[in-house]
Amino acid sequence: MRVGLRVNGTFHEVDVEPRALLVHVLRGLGYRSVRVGCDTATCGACTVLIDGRPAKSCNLLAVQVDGAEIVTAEHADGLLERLRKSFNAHHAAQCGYCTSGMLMAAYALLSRRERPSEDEVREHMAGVLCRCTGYQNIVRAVVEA
Amino acid sequence: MFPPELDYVRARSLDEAIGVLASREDAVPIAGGQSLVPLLKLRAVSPGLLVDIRGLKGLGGVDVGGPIRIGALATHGDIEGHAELRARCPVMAEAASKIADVQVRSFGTVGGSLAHADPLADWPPVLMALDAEVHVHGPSGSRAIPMGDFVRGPYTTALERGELVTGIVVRDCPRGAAYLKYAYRHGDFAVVAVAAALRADGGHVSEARLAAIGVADRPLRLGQAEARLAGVPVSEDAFADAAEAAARSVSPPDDHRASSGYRRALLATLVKRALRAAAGR
Ligand SMILES: Cc1cc2nc3c(=O)[nH]c(=O)nc-3n(C[C@H](O)[C@H](O)[C@H](O)COP(=O)(O)OP(=O)(O)OC[C@H]3O[C@@H](n4cnc5c(N)ncnc54)[C@H](O)[C@@H]3O)c2cc1C
Ligand code: FES
Ligand code: FES
Repeated sequence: MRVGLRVNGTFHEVDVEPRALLVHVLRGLGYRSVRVGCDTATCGACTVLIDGRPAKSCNLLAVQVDGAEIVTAEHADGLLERLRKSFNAHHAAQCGYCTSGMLMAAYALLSRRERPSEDEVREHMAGVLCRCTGYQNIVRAVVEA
Repeated sequence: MFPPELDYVRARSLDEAIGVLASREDAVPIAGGQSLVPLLKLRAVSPGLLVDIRGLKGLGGVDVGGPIRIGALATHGDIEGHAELRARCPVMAEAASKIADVQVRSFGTVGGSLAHADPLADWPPVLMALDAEVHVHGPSGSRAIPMGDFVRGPYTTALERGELVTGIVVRDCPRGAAYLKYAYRHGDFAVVAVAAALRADGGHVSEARLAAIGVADRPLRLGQAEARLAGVPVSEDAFADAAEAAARSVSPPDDHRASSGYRRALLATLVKRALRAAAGR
């Protein structure tokens, strides 16, 4: 099936099998920040924004989001740049596997709310798991971004 | 993990979707895909054709003008974030916010959750306590099914072949309603959860509805506990009495997640707390 996706502002038209998962299609297009962690909709490493809302790309078929506007951690804009700098400054990554999912969850929250409280950050980011950092620095990085 | 090979069609109208679903034995609808895609990946189901209903107009949205009407395609996130609904029926926003995580709530729909009928899904107990109706449309027309009759067992509902959930209607949402969910980890399915709806008149209970998950193979209305509350003064003693009646009325399953006794004890505690929370609103 022909599917059109606008990823970080660039339009792609791709031929996909209906059973293809969005995460695999995005990686195939070169968006390697989008990672497969658990492959069971649990860890959030594959989180991207779809029409402004965060979603797990391992748990959607690409055909379901034909025509959608997608944002991945490769995106370049002021907010993502601010978040990247803040993650760096607060040592919010160790192995880095969860980081693109964390960035996308944070990006989704900060695009809707300028100054979220620590509790809001924790609640909103609960769908991305980190097995290294213990979360403290990630939460601080988002609160202070 | 990859889903099996399948065909896919995007339905352009409700009638077209129903026509395809009724005529092809191997066709299943897909809404948000948040329960179906995992099943496809596990090859627990292998439909020949997916009929995508997510783009159908008129099946989404939240309307609080008269009775509360929520379209089948409204996502958990839509319900959580709807300011007027939160003002009119806070327990629905409360319940939505306890489902999974923000990512799942962006796509998962209330209609999909009801049709999937996971025994631990959060909407059924809440909608049972609110005495909601499930509206469905199929090859032989439309009908409304009381929420209490909709779930027939684990992953089993009153839906007939070719029928789709089109929405839910809540005619009466008491302010005094609460949903308490106990899970081992944030965003997990419940071990036990309780929904309570309470109305009082002159300090006495005039109406009490209670429903729970995690204490049977399907959501349960707690009739015996409700009966204990009829007409009694709103008090901690009454809540404790109802909690005890609730615990005595169930035979919870014993499994790797929790023993039967633990579930029973949790039920009593959650009934008490849910009634207390409902009474305080
Ligand atoms: C990680 C994770 C955690 C979760 N945690 C929870 C939780 O804590 N509590 C909870 O309640 N749920 C939880 N869920 C399930 C989630 O709520 C799903 O959104 C919901 O169960 C299904 O909605 P959907 O729109 O995604 O349906 P789909 O996955 O698209 O469909 C599910 C089933 O319903 C059928 N269907 C869909 N729409 C209709 C319709 N309108 N009419 C008839 N049949 C239809 C499909 O054919 C399919 O059989 C979780 C899911 C995930 C992935
Ligand atoms: S890979 Fe998608 S949630 Fe873990
Ligand atoms: S930094 Fe390693 S999983 Fe988060």
